[in-house]
Amino acid sequence: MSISMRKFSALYKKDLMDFIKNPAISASVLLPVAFVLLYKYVVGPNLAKEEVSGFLLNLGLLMNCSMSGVLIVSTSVAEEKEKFTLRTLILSNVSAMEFFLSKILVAVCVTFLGNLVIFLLSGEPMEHIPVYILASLLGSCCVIMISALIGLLSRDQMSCSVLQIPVMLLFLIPPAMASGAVLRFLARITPLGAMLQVYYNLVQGKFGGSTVLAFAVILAWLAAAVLLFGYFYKKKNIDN
Amino acid sequence: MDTKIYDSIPELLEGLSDHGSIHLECNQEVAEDIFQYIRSHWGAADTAFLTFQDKGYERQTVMEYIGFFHRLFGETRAVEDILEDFDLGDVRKAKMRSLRPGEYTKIQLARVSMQNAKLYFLAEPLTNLNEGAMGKILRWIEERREAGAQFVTINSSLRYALMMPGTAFYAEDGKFCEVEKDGEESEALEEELEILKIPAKSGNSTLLFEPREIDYVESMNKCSYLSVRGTLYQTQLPMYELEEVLKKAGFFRCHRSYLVNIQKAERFEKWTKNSYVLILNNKEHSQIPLSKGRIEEMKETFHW
Repeated sequence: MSISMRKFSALYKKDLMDFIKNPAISASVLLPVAFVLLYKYVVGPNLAKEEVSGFLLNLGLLMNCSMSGVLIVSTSVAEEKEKFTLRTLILSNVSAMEFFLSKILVAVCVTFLGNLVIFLLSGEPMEHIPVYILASLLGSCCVIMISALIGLLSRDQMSCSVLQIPVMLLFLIPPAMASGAVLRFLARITPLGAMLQVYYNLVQGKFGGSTVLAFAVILAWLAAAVLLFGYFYKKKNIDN
Repeated sequence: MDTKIYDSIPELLEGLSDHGSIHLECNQEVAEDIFQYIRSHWGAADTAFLTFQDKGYERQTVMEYIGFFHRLFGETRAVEDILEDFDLGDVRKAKMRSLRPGEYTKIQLARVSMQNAKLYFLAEPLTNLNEGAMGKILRWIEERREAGAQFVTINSSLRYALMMPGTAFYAEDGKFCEVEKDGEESEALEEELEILKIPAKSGNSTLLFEPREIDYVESMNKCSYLSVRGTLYQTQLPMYELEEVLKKAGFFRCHRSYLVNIQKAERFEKWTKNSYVLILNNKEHSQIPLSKGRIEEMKETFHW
């Protein structure tokens, strides 16, 4: 499948502008950042000094990856289906691949930017940043691919949110709570819990079994999302 | 004069090369079938579509929407010129979600105009447009036709189908019938009848209209309809009889399918090389197709 750079850049610009103009979606990045700021100045002073940065990072990174990661692509794909603008694009010789890639790229950029701001606000040591970028990019790409799958499967925004909410909760709650055997287990086998595991293991210099396992979990989710996306992409006629 | 009747959509579209462009009066179901047929049988790169549902991106302004497709298609003409050509100058800063139906039509036409296709499928290109915009759209269609492009349009009213350059058809029982080209022949029937009221059916009652109430008479599928205060009423009288009777009341046969009350005409305009239109001063400012061949006759009759 060939991708025309001209079309792709037009689509990318449109999708990025739409992200900025749609408060319901841009909130998914602004909200985690706002929460980190709030906790830094309200809750932070009551915590032990060495706990603050880790707490803020967990909170912000998990929220940002689960919210913007899950919401951006799927909502915007569902909206284009619902309002028949996708049909117009397809009739204007935009390939479905160009359409999806542009949305995925916007989501990756925006989520990455949000994650970076959260890292800087959290006050984690700067030498951790390469590891952080690796872990957060892997985790968010995996979630964004799942989001694209949700967008592909849903017909309109209503049916889209039916899928979004449980996925968001599944990815967010276990690593955020991490209390009790069930949640701990779920945290280990869902991508965002594994992403945190990768980050903390690598900054502590642990390259052993649990790190490899966490990597494997993220890659397995990513591979599953890509495969399922490919399967439904072929099966479904993308223009309803 | 031969009028063609096609039995199916494939046959109708095969006739496209003979007719240049096909303007069809039909319902939305037939329109959808034709749309699907064109989509699956023509090369995607050479076809442009205007369908009913798309209202664009609601958070964009008109200018941003046109600008997006401008980049997408790699169009070379300036966005401003395109907005001007499709009568969109006034709404360029308006948000897409706040527009009126006619404005969506113009925006979608501006969009397909940037696609440079060989075949344009347009659903309802003239519905909801005012005269100024309609003239601009007709001129664009004519320009594209001269450049070798073909058009298939779907219209809810035969008036619109007849206004556009090309051949008009109406759909009936799965068949597509060509609307007779306007010839010069006229039926000379002298009758002594002096009817002052025109009967028309409405439910179980028969209404009797005075000629001055009638804006125009339209004939479609072998029936005649009186347009009175924006509503069409079917009448049993055939067109030629109505013409004879209403001639005395100042009516003029401006088109094979139209008989217009000249008292109500406001002006007539030349829109494209071969299309003229009469505009009435009723509430809707109805536009009635006016045949080129009948203009002289009209001028003579009314000593203009």
